[in-house]
Amino acid sequence: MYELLAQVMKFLLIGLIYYFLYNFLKLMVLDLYEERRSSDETDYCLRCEDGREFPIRRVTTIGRAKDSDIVIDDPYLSSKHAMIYRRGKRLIIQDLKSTNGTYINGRRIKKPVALKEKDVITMGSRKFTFLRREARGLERGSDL
Amino acid sequence: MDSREEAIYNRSLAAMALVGFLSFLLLSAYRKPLDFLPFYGAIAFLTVVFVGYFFTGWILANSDKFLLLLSSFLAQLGLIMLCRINPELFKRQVIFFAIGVAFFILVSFFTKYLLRLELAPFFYWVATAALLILPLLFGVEKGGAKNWLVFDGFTFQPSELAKITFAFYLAGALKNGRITSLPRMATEILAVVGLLALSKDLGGAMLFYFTALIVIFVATSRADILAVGGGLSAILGVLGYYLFDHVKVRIEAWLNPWQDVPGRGYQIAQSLFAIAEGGYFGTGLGLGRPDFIPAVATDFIFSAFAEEFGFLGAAAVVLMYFLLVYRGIRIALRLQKNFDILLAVGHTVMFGMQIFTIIGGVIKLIPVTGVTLPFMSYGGSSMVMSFASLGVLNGLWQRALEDEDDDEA
Amino acid sequence: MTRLKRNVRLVFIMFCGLFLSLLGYLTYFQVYERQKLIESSYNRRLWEQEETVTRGTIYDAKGRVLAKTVEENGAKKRVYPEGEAFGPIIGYSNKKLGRANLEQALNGELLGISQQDPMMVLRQKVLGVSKGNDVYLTIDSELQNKAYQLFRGRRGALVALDPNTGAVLALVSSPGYDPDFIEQMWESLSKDENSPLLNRAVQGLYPPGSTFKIVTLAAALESIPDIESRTYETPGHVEVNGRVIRDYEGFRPGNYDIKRAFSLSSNSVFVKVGLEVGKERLIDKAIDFGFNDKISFELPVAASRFPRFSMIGDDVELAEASIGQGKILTTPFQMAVVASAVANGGRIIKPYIVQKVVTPLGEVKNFSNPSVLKEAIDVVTANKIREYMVDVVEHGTGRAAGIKGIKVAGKTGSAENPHGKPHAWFVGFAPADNPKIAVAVVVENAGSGGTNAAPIARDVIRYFLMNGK
Repeated sequence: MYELLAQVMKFLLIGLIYYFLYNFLKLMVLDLYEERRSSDETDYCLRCEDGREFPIRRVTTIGRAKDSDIVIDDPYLSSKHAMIYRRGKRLIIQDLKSTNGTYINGRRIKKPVALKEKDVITMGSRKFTFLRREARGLERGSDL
Repeated sequence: MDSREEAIYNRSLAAMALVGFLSFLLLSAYRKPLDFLPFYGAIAFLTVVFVGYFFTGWILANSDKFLLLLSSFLAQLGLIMLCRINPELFKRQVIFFAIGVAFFILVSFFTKYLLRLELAPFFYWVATAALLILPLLFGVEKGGAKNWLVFDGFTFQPSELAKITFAFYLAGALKNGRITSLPRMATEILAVVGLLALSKDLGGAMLFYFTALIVIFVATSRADILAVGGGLSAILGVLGYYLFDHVKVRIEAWLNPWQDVPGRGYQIAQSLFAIAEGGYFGTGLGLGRPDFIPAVATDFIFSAFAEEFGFLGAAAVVLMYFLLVYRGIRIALRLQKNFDILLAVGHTVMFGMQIFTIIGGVIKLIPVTGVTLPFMSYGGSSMVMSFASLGVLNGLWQRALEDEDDDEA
Repeated sequence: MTRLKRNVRLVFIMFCGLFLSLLGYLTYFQVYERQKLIESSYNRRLWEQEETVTRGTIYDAKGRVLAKTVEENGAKKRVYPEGEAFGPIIGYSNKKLGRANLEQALNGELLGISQQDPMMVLRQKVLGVSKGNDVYLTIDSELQNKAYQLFRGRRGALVALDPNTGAVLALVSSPGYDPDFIEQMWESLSKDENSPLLNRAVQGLYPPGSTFKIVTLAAALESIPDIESRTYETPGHVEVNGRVIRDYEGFRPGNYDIKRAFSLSSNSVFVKVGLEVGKERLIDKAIDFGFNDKISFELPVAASRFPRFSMIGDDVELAEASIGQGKILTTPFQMAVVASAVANGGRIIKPYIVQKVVTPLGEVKNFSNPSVLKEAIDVVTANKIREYMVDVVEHGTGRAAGIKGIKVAGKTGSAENPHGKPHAWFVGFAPADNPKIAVAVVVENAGSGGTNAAPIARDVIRYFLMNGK
């Protein structure tokens, strides 16, 4: 009698164990998904003259359009003005054929240009500084 | 917390309770006459789980439920096997589990709030060494290794606590991303490993050694140390083979257990017979023969589990341990300070290596070394200290989340 | 990503590898190792099963008990009524020492666990059957005992087959041991220089000596068309690349045709014949007769070895091979198969020792369906060889095997070996025109086959034909 019970029960128990495992695997997948989203960000940002900071992602679009990553309400900007994207370790800025153009350190760019820290980007009447985001208490001692 | 995650946790908790009730009810019918001890034990166990689960949620807002639930589930599977093997051990293990959960909460708290002050690594090294010397001086031998302390009837295995202090030592010594003095560090680590080898705790010696090696690599990125350390371990292994009989016996039993089944191959052969008997779905709870396996309540509990729950059950357990390791790594990746990261990595690696060593050992992938399977094996020190380890990870996790909150504020 | 975190990720990848290897090995174990371990004689679960199941009985061809389990003071005990002659073939089933020979090979049947049919298992469970299957062998225990006694304790082996069916009639290895006393005798048995635990009939490897001339003759008859009309002049020895191979003492120099040379077992003539046949054809013929191949049989049979093409370096080695010396090694079992193939018109029939298995519920599983493995030689050649072998017994070296009123066919052999006097061989069958029994006998270091092995074969054949079926 016990034997029969145990035989039946073993399938049930294995099923439950796997159900439990499945739940935790799902949690892991959720974790990883979140991880991916956050790893979309880079260590850099654009700081506006008024002090606001816009984080730069893997691909960041700038313009008046509401679906831009950095929305700037300025009549001198085009709706899709410029784009910053990552190529290997560098971040590249490209002008999207805007009416008034994009300037790096006062010079208008025609082709995509790699950004360096503290570059000043001018779009329309706005000036932005390209900066590394504050590293917070991280890696001070390491030999990076 | 995300409501979606919350729902998943609640479902898992329900599944866990169901596994517990079903198997312990079944076990109540196992012995004649009907004995409800397993069932009462299960109620006590599940009460501890629920209280622990909600209490940590209450006092630590962001407590990592993943760690606590997964480890409790593994502990439950271990308890099911123990109850079936020896009800006496089962009773005590339930108590150990309760103490373990208490330690988990305490250590989480402690790590979160108090360990902001980092003591000098040397202090931790002294603590580790002292913990390992004690049993050599006053200890008793159990299962071939002299690493037990006895205070009137209450036994304790200091090497389990030493795992935690050792991880602190490594994190402290390496937090600057470089080794201040390689000879000194090598001496310190080898001294610890040597102490373990002296007490014939080979599994422990291996664990400490490889953990140190990996944490050093993580901190310094120095592949050369990794290579030299790996080479040295091979040399030490060969030396051990020729110098110590018990090393030789284990390696020969691994290479060819069938040559001398009644003698040196006995343990591993019995373990393999058990796993073979299980098949895919197992023999069913209570229908295997764990009494054939030596040290079945401690080192070889995985084999007994594999016999009665089959390949599928065994694979699920391996995956669950993997998820624990995954969670540890994830916590490490979310931390900001070197010390914290290395501490989390140290605990995770110690933990993961231990699991790999013992499961790999009982299935004959690698030679058997007598270490316990965290949460499943019988043993108070192992249970409590494994939970304490998780507590450290959980505390660090609190810190990671707190730091992130600070940043956003 | 910082370097530290990259390293943490590397550690994670390492753990992925480690845990995958755990899963991989578990899977491998499940798929490839599992069955072997379940059936391992060291597995106490099997013994446990034996506690609840009464091990089946082993019977001989005539229903005499060879091994059975009895209850003695509530404990089960395995007894072997037939004694020493059966140790090397039946083996033993002992808690401490494990199992050997047929007790091991037939373990699944004897315990009744080899039937995979779950319905059958269920039925037995419902009916409360706790007995394994009974096994009936093809062995005739009287013949086996008789043959064993003929060795008088000398080291050697004898295999007797029914050439028509492949049934093993006797399988003797001498000295033997009584499985009833295996536990008490273990120390002395395992240390005995005569290695009684070894089943020489299937595991002993010997140079076949002149008995191999049957194979050389077969190759010659098939590949040299006018061989029967030729005569060979021989001075009593032959020189091959400086190596002199002699005929046995008392062989007279002169002119011999192949039949007479076979009868008198002339080495010099057969070396010439072998060289003419060539190594390719000789190797092919040896393989046709089953050399270099494992014979499938209930007991593990050591594969007989005939040197492969690349291993026969020069004519000296070919010369040695054609008279069964040099690198050739064979089991008595293999030579019995050769004799039985000649007796059976050239066909090799799969030998077997289990006639039927009877379950406790009365179902009978029959195993005695003769199956032809292959054709070693054609019928015409087989008949010629048979005629030559009759001549050996009537006028040649095998006269000691002659029986009044029965035509016996045979071939003697005296195999040179590094351990002392030659091994005495005799292989043959009878009655030559309607073979009922084929035998191979070897007596280690006994001297010439004609005087030491042939009489054993004769007595076994006579006993079988007088008292047999």
